[in-house]
Amino acid sequence: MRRFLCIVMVLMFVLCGLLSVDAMAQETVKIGFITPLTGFAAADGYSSLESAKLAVDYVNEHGGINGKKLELISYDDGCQPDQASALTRKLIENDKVAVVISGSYSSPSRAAAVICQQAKVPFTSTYAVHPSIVEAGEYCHRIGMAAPIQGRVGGYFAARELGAKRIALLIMNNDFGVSLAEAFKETALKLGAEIVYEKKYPLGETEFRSYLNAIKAADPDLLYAPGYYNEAANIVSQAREVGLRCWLMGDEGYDSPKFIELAKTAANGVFITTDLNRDSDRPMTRYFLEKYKERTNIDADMVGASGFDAVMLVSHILNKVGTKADDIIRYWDTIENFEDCATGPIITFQERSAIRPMDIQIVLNNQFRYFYRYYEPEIIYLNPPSGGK
Amino acid sequence: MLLNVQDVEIAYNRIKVLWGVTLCVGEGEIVSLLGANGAGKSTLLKGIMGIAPLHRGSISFLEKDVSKKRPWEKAKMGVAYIPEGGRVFPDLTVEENLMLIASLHKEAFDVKENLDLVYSLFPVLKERLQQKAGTLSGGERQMLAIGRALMSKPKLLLIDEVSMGLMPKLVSEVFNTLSLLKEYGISILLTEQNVPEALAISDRGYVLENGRITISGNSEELLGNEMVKTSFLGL
Amino acid sequence: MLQVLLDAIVLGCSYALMAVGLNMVYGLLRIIHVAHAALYTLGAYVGLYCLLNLSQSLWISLFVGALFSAIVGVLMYRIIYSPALTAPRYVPLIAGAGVFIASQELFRLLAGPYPYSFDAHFQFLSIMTPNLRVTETQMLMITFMVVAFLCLFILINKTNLGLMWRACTQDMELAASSGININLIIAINFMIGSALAGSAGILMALYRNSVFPTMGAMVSYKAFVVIVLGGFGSIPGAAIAGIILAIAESFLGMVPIFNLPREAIAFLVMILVLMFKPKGLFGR
Repeated sequence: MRRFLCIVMVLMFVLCGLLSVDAMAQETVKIGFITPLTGFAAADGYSSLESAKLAVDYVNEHGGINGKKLELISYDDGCQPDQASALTRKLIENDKVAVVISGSYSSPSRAAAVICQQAKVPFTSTYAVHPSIVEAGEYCHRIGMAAPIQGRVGGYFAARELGAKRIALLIMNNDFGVSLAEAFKETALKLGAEIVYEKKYPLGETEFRSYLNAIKAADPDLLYAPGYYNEAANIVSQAREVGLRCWLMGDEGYDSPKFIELAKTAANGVFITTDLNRDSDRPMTRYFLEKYKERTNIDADMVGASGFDAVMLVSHILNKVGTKADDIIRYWDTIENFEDCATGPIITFQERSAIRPMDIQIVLNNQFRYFYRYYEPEIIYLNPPSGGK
Repeated sequence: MLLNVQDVEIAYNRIKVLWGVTLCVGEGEIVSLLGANGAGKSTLLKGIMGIAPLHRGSISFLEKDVSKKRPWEKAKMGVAYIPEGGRVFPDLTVEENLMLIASLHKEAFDVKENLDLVYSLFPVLKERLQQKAGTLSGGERQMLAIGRALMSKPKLLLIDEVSMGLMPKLVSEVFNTLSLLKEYGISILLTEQNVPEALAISDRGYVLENGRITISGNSEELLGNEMVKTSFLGL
Repeated sequence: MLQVLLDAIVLGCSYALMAVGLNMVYGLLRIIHVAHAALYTLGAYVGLYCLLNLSQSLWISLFVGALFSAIVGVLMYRIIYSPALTAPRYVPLIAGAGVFIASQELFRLLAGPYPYSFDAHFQFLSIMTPNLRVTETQMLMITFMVVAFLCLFILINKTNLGLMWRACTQDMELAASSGININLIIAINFMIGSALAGSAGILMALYRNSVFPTMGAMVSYKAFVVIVLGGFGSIPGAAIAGIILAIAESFLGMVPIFNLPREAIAFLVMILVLMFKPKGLFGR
């Protein structure tokens, strides 16, 4: 009996194998996707993957890639760089994908970028911000906002628009938080502000009262706290609790309805830098926001939006030039004013990072609202075209 | 028979320590288990108590099969065990050590009567009631260990190397006390390296060698046995 | 300053409540119960479920969450640790770590990866003065911790059960052969420790207004630091060390030049303790 069962199992495996080969026989254009579905970053991975699937459905409903179906092959990297490298190899060697997209954090994305560069397969990160991702080489691009740009936008808004003179920094100690804080600090100092307090905290920290009390004593005009929404919700609500009365400013990591749900009314008045404008009436943005809610029963966030955009952009390129890596890369660098995305239009790619108008949003009445938009080239370009920073 | 050990085998990590040991202890008897270090004496006592699981064989106590019983169940039936080296609960006071046992067996008898017995046997314990057991001297600890066992008013007392580490004077004192216990209807199975002292108070004895019983008989016979003489008595 | 001290004490309560369960298990079985933090998260999720589906009352959700954690804690012992006890020490350690990691993924599969808000309304004391603010939640945490440790102290030192428990921590084999049902004592031990972990989870969920699959990770690291600091197996040690650690973290964290994250401070404390007082401040 047991033997019989074993044989049945083996047969089933073989059949499954055959079936999947069969499925491959129908010609599809494959793109690979790595994202954390387990571990501490699972929530972002889920947003990212569901949005990417949403985009794939959109593309296939609108004719696919030159008549062929677009197929998304996704793996769970658990937000671990070593996993990300191994899975990227698998995507390239076994699944023979045309493009690899990372819906993961900075460290795994860096690892994946290196592999793709070696294999000469086009790669793009979505919401990972660390500068070094695109430095892996000419095959690596970035859809989201590079940290130097986002930090700089934050710096301009804080020091120029809000006129903050005394600034406190509370920085999440990982690639994301640190690279944002560096750019922010450089800009703010250049604009004449003074850093009155600076502290790093580890990912997963929940207790900020002692830092916030020290910040309160330093009496800043503004607190910039780059990080993710889970920690940010604690920072913001504890800041209000200890009676810190200054501007609070965050980044796109705050850009999730969960931030407002967790921080409750304390979230009101917080500024964030982001590229997802929920008040926008651009059709693609509206499409994304509505369909995402329909699909997952959760409100969309920035992480999801950039996953959506990555698939939209990649399929646009594949439609134009086919699946040859060098053609893709050559075309990629010439893209201008790409409108089919949920976040703001991509003006161009500079140093392989997307350049787009940058938004400041504010939480009002428990909702993210449009507040301010930067178009100035010297702010939103990685290296301003007019030359010199 | 009070205790019947039938064909018992015990193994530690698949290495057999006891090979088919059979022995018995009658009511009111003191029985010695003799043998060199590593012969398996302690293991046998642990097996009887239920601390070391039996590999094979059976143990019956008061005509009931107790092979599968847990140590605490056996304790409730009237088996008390005094492990090697005067083990007591070091961070409990002398009083707590005694009362803990009494509280576990309180349905069975009068606690006060039992406590009086212990104090009469070991008057020194009465002076040390509030002292932590870990701070007692070796002899006092051994007394407490015996007193602790008596607090459960056992029918059978298993004693492992009671004389170990004690001054010679104390050894005979302890053995005297043990022989007194007979009058209270307590049977004893004891392991001992101090063969003459042990045989002096026991009715019968067994010699355990490499996990097997090789010689058995009453105390006089054993004292006269050539092998016992050469191996244990140094004659 | 007073405010910082108070906030730190509240935080220390959560460390202490977690560490005490770990220490109770270590004291009895000499194993490091890594999966303990899973019960913290479990308590929070069960409490949240209660709050959303059964009753609006925080007290009921606290009770049900703690009860659930207690039951699962005992099952954990019976299923995972009990068979591993005779194996070398690293076996239960690794088994526990495995259970902890698996539990995080289980919570994620059952409840989704997103954090939930823990929005309970309740009436409790609070202090609101210009110099000192103690919110209702903070007051509740301090009260809970004090009551829990008082009960535990009385249980251990004044009752027969406590006497048996202390005997078991000193010599398990002797305790068993003296007539103590050690399986029962171990089960009760896991029950109490797990219930405290579960309640800590709920209280922290309330305090932070969030419940998410990996919420136990940071607390479990801290709990290890606390038991090293307080001494392995010492229950008052866990309580006092929890609060000391939180105060040290908070005050050192306030010094601007001392630019180390809180976590680093905790582990620095642990290394120092291991170097100079390896048995901990209250170790036996």
